[in-house]
Amino acid sequence: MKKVFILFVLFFLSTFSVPAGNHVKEGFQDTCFSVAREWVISQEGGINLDNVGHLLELTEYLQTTGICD
Amino acid sequence: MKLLHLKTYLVFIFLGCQFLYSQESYRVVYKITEPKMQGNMESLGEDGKQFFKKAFEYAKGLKYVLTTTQEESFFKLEDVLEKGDETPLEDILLKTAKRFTSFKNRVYIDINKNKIVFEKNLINKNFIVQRNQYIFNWKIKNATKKILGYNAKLATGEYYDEVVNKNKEVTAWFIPSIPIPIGPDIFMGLPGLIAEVEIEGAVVTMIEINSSKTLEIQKVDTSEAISQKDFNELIGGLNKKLNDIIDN
Repeated sequence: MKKVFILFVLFFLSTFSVPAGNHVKEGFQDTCFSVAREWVISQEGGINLDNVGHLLELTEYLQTTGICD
Repeated sequence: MKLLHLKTYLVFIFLGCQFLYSQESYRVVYKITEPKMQGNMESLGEDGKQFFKKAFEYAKGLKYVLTTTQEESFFKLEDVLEKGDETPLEDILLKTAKRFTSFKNRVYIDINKNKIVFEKNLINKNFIVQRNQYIFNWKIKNATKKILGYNAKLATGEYYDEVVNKNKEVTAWFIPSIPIPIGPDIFMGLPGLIAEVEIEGAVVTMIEINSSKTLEIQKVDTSEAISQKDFNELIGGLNKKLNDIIDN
């Protein structure tokens, strides 16, 4: 389900012609995505159109820090 | 006869005060005074916990600026935090902290023309939307409290957030002695400047107010704005697809 979800968001990112610097890298690692998703869901009550962009940015950042795998 | 004169004077004084207020413009600074930590950190490691605690503390430093007259207003995050040269950590902390309020990027309101223009980021793309002002169905309560020395009255309201497709509650404290029906973000429509709002993720409070006769009210460029109808169709379609994916 997670991978389908990520593909969905990546599809929309490309549809919206987001500047190259904002594209999310390929190769999400489930752990960081899970950490970010759990945070967003518990903080905001669910994943929605308003926070899905932040979810991806948060995942990407956590991956770069080594906080999660 | 003397009583009649007194009444006439009082009427002139009252009208004079109203005129003075109508000429006044204000620069109001708001701050997140109470970010609401609702996120679950139980399963996070120590580094993860530290990161989200930092974001929580970062949120407490976020300031927003409202400039307003009786006719129009402009609201945005204070400039110093959007200088564009943040480190990756500062950038993600700012973005995470901004989620506590989920305010629009910029909001321009033409008070008398029932018009609001705002910039909203959805999935890393900014949209400019021009639409009618939001309806809050405010209910004014008896409670009062002081904010920056002003007497503020309590009101509660509810509005429809089209982006997440649900009704949201808001609590506001407004200042009847400053008869400008504006507040932070999209919040407006009370008989006085809104000094504090409590929303799902945070309490946002006025921490500074200055009056002037020469403040310029910025506008949001509407040359690429989409209508309320088009915006609703856009987010309706995206929400449906998003929900289909989440449900499956």
